[in-house]
Amino acid sequence: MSNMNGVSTLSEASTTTDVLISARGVRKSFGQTEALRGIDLDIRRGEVLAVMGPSGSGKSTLLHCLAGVIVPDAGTVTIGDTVVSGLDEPGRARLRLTELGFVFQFGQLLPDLTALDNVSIPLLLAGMKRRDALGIARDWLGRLGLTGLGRKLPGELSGGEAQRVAIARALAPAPKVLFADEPTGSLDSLASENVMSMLLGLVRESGTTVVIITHDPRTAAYADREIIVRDGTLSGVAGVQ
Amino acid sequence: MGSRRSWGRLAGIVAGVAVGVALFLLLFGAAGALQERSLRSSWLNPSGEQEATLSDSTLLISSVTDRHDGATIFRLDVAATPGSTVAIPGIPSAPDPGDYYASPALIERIASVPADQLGDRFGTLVGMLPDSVLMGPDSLAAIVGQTEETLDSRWSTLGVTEFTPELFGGNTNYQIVAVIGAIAVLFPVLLLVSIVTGLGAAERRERFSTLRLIGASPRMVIRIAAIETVATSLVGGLVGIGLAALFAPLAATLSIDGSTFFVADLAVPPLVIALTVVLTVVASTFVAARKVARAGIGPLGATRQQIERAPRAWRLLPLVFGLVVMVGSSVVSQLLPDLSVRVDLLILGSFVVLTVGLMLSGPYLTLVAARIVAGRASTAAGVIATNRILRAPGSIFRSVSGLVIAVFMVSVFAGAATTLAADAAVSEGPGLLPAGALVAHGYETSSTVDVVELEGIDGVRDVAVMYFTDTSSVLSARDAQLLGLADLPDTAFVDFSGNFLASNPDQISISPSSVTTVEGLTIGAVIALTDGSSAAIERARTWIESSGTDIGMFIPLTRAEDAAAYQLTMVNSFATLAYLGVGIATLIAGVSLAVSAVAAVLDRRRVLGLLRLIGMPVASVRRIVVFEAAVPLLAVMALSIALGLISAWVILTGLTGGGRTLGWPDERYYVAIGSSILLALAAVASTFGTIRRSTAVTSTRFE
Repeated sequence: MSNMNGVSTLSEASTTTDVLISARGVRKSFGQTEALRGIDLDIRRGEVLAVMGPSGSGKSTLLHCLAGVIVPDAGTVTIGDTVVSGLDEPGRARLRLTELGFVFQFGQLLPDLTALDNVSIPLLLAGMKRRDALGIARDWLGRLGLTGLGRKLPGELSGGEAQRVAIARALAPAPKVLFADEPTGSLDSLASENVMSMLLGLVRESGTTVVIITHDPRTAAYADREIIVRDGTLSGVAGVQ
Repeated sequence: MGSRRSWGRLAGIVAGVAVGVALFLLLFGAAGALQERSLRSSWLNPSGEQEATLSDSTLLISSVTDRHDGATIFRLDVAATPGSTVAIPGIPSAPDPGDYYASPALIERIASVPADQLGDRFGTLVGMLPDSVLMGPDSLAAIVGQTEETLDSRWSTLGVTEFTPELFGGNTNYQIVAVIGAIAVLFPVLLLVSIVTGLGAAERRERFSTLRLIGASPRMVIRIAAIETVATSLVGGLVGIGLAALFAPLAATLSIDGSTFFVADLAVPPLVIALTVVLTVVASTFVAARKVARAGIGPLGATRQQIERAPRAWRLLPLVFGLVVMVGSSVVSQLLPDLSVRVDLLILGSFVVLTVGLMLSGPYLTLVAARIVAGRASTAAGVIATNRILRAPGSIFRSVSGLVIAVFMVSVFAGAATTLAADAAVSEGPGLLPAGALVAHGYETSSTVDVVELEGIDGVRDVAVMYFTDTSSVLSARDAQLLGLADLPDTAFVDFSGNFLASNPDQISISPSSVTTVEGLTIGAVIALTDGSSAAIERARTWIESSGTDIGMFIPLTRAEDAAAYQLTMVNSFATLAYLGVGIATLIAGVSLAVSAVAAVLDRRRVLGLLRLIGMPVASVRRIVVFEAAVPLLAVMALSIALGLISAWVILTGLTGGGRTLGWPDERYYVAIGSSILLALAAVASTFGTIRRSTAVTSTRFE
C-alpha cells in the first residue's frame, strides 16, 4: 500500500498507543547507494515481527536505524517516547544497553567467559552489583533449560546451547525490544525449533517486542507479522496486524 | 583496509627481525672486540721476572698506570741494551732514555696542555704507536725509555724476554657483563618478533581457511605461511645487517674499561652474519609453519581451538633454584675464600637460571594474581579482563614480559652501580686530607726530595713529608696540622697510623712521637697541598714523577683518584652500558606491549564490536585493555625489582669476596623505573584509537 507520495507505508497498528517503535520517512544512503528510500513502519508493543528480503535489500540497514546503531539521513525513529534518531552516540548506546536486546547469528559470546558471566555482562554494564547480576543470570539460564551449564565456556557448548545463552544475555536486562539477526542461521532444524520455541515463549510471557531478520520461512512463521524489504522499500506485509 | 593491515603486519615483522639481527650482530661484535683489543694491548702489562738483569735477550720494564685530569694513561717504562733482540709491539726498537713513543690520543693531549703538566713526564717524542697495538682510538698509551739504573731502583721492575698476547684476568667479568647485557637487550627483541608475527592471526586464519575452501591442501597452506615468513624474515635480516653497519660507528663510541672501540673491531665475520640471518629465517619459518599446522585450519576455519594449559606451581622451581644457588655461591665465597670454586661462573650460571625462572614463573604468578582479582571484580571490564587472563595467562604475561625483564635488568645494574657511587663520593672535613692534596709514595728507593722546589710550583701551597722510622711513620707537628689532622698531641713530631687517602677519619690515628729529628730517616710519603685546580695537581704530579719515585708501584694520587681506582672497572662498565642497554630494551618492550595490546583488540574485534553494539561504552573496552596489562605487570614487577637488587648484591659480594656491598640506587634508577611504568601506560594508551575505530558500531556487521 502506498501513500500519495509513492512512499511505501504499512497500515498496521489499530491505535497509536499500542505502537512502540515508529519509523517515518526513513532514508539512508551509503555513498551513491540509497539503502532505504523512505520507510514508514509501526511496530506494536509485544509484537513479533519478521523482516525478510534478499541480500542487499536494506533490511539490515533498516534494523540498524531502528536499533539506534546508525542515524538515518532523513526521517525519524521513535521507541516509546524517545526519538532515537535524535540522540547522540552515547545516548543511543545507553538506550541499546538499557532498553534493547540483541541476538546475532554467531560469534557473540565472549570465549573467555563462562555462560553465567556472559549473561551477566549487560547487567554489569548497566551498573548492577555483581552478585545481583549473577543471580539474575542464573535464573535466566534456568529458564532457558541451561541449569548446570553456567560454568561452561562457549567453546564447550553446542550451537543450540550457545544460542540460548545469547538469548538469556539479551533478555536478562528485561529489554523493551529484542532484535534478532538470523538467530537460527547456524543451527540445525531441531535446534532451530527448540530455540525459537523457547524464545517466543519467553517474550510472550514478558511482553517483549521482537524484530527478527531471517531468510528462513519456518522461523518467520513464528512471527505475528512479516514484512519484506526490497530495494530499500517495504514491499509486502503478511500475518496478523 | 585489510590490505593495509596486512602490509602493516609484514612491515612490523621486518622491523622486529631487523632490530633483533642488528642488535645481535652489534653485541657479537662487541664481545669479540673486547677480546681482540685486550689481546692487542696486553703488551702494556706483560709477565716477567723480578730482580732480572738487563741483557740483549731481556728488557727491563715497569708498567705504570698514570693519571691526568681524570684520564688514565697506560705507560711502559723500558730499558734496553743497544743490541736488544726483544721485539716491542708496534715500534721498531726500544726508545733511548729520555725518548718516548705515544698513542695519537696521548700526543694530542700532551700538545694541548703546558709541558709542566704532562709532557715533561715523558721526554722527547720519537714516534707514534700504531692502532694495531692500542685498545681504542682514545687510548692514552706510551713507551718511555729509561736508564738501567732508574729501573733497577724500582721494586716494580720486571725482566721481559718476549711480549705474548694474553687476556687480562678481568676479561671474564667483561664477558659476564656482555652475556647479561645480551640477555637484557635481545630478549625483548625476540619477544617483539614473536608478538608481531602473531599480529592479525585471526585474519590469516580466515584467509587460509578460504584457501582450503577452494581446494588448497593443509600442506599447501603451511607452505604458504612458511614462504611468507621466509620472505619477511629474510628482508628483516638483510635490513638488520644494514642497521648494524649503520650503527657500528655509534656503538664504537661507547667506552668500556676506559676506552672506546675502533669501528673495525666491531666487525663480525661474514660467516657469522650469514649464519645469523639463516638461523633467524629458519627459526621464524619453523615457528610460523608449526603455528599454522597446530591450528589445523580447515575450509570452515580453525578446527582446533587454541586452548592454553593453566601454568602450574612447578614453574617457580627454576626461579627458586637460581636464587638459592646465586645467594649460596656468594655466601660460601665469603665464608670460605680459599675454596677453589669458580664463583664467577656459578654466579653467572645461576643468574641465567634466575632470569629464565622469572620468565617461566611469570604466567603462573599472573594466573594467581588474576584469581585473586577475579574474585573481587565487580565491573564488566574487570570480569572480562580477569577471565581472559585466567584462560590465557601465558599469552597475557608474554605481552608484558619484555618490560618485566627490563625492570629486572635495570635493578641489577643500578644495584651494582651503587658501590660505584659510594666510592666516588669524597667527603671533606676534620681529620681528612683536603681534596686538592696529592699524595706520593714510592720514595723507598730514594731518601731525598727537594721540598723547596716542589713548593715553588705554581698552584702548590705547601708540602708535607712523612718519614719512616724502624717502628712507625712520623710527621712533624707542623705538617700534621697542614694536613688537617685533628687532636694533635703537644709534641714536635707525631706518630701516624693509617692511610692518607682514607675517606673515614676514624681510619687515621695520631699519637705522640719520641722522634726529635728526621735526619737520616727514609721518606715514606710526600704530600703536595695544591689550590685544587687541575693544572696545579698535574704540575705537582709531573714534578713528583720526574723526581725519581717508583711510579711503577705508586702514582701520586688525590683522594678522589684513589677512590676511583678502587672501583671495579667491571662495575664502571655496568654503569656505562646498563642504562643505555636497558633503555633500548625498555623501548622495545614498550613497543611489544603496544603491539600485543593492539593485536588482542584486533583479534577480538568482532566480539568487542558486538558488545559495543549492544551498548558497551568504548571506555569499558579501554578499561579491559588496561586491566589486561596492569594485572600481570603489577603481579611480577615488584618481584623483578626485588630479584634484580638481590642479584646485584650477589654479584657485588660474590665477585669481590665481600669487598663490596649494595647501597641505595641513585636517581637514574627511579627515573628508569618510572619511565618503564610510563612507557607501559603510553603503550596501552596508544591502542585507544585502534579500539575506537575497530570496534565502532558502524564497522561491525550486523549480519
